[in-house]
Amino acid sequence: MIKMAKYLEIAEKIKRKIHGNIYKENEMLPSEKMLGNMYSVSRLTVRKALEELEEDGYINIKAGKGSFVSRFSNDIYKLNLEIDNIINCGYDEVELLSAKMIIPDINLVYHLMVKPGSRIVCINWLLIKNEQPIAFETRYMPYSNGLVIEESDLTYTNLVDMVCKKFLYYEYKESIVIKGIIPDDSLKDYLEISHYDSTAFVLIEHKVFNENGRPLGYSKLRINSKYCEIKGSCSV
Amino acid sequence: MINEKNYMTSYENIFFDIKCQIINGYLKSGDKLPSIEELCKIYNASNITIKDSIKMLKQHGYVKSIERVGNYVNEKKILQYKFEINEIDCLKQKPDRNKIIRIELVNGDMISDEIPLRIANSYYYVKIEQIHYFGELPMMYNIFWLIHSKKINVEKLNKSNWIHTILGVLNNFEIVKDLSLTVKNNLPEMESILFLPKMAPMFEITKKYYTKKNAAVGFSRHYAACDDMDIKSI
Repeated sequence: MIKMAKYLEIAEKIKRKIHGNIYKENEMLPSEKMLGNMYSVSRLTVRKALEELEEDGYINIKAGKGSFVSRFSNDIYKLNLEIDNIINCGYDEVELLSAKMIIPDINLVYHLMVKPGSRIVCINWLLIKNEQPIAFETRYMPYSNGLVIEESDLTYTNLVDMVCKKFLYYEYKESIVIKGIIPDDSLKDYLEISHYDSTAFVLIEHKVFNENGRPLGYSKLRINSKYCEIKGSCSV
Repeated sequence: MINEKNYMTSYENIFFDIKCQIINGYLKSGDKLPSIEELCKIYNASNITIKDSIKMLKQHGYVKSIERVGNYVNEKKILQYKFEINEIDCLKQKPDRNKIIRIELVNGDMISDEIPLRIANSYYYVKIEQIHYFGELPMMYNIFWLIHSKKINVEKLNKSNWIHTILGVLNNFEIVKDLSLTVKNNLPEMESILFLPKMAPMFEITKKYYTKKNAAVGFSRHYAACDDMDIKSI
């Protein structure tokens, strides 16, 4: 067996105590000196272990105060939302339906936090498998002067790549909401299903914000629920 | 006057520049970055600055370093997001009571096509069906299948105590969980149990439970109307 570094060993021991609820949420851990005595190692090793724990999100180190146990849950899952991964067996081709400049409606004004009269770049794609449309994605980006949309921007990539490439932001935040919907009639036309068909669709709303919380892009991906499965595993 | 928000330290600048090169495809995945010395000359910066920017690139997942070999551009970032999915906490309206519908022993062979676990079917399962209510309204329907051990005598159980223990065990940190999430609206039985309109979309959450040594413990399915649930990334 590979011998673990001492500080990792100690980090693991403290982790177990947090898991076992011996160190409870928001409680302060013993001081570095005390931990050092407890595991008979130097303060430096303890420090390294605590830093490791902070990186993993178990504790919160406050300078001059101490280390505090963060809120912790074992129901946190890492979901892989790569498009090839959520559509069973992937898709065959992508059809660009339209790319246009639109004036936002009330919904978009709310989601993109833009002025009601401003302009929005709106791109629609249809994902096809076995010559049947199975998913529909709409993307919105607030337009500002100087933003150039080239042909290469219309190839289908994920939203983060697209937005980061356009705005060259290096710090961004994301939010994702997963919902289940019955598509409205206009969407049914695009997806070539009859108006009487009430297949459910999975709606994945993805937003990218800059560091000040201003939305840079918003996408709505709707996938036929027959073909969609979102998988993940517990990250503990 | 320098606007604080637009002001970037030089290591951030270098980080930003290399990142742009990666995003725009000038540096491809698997490419080796120039050595630290070379980067010092390129950016006319000190050793420490370069090291800081490479550290930042690593933190953001653009670059990985192999000791004594060099720094390499990472493969494409996988779009992984963290979600806290606890079937009860995700409900918009927290249920105030629950009821166990039935507990029974089922032969694994009979339900072999329903079992998502990768194990032999010649097991017995304890199947537990439970409904969570908010007032009189059913909010969520849970089914647990646990691999039966001889120690459990299903007939003699004190149901409410026992299920409490079982849920405690399943939520222990020694248990590894896999999750799969789908949307369904072709389950008429479930619609009638949950008092939903016809064809209303609902989430089906399947959780599989394993021990850390990869031995299967069981699995569970949870059903609730999509409108009642909030599934958001954190």
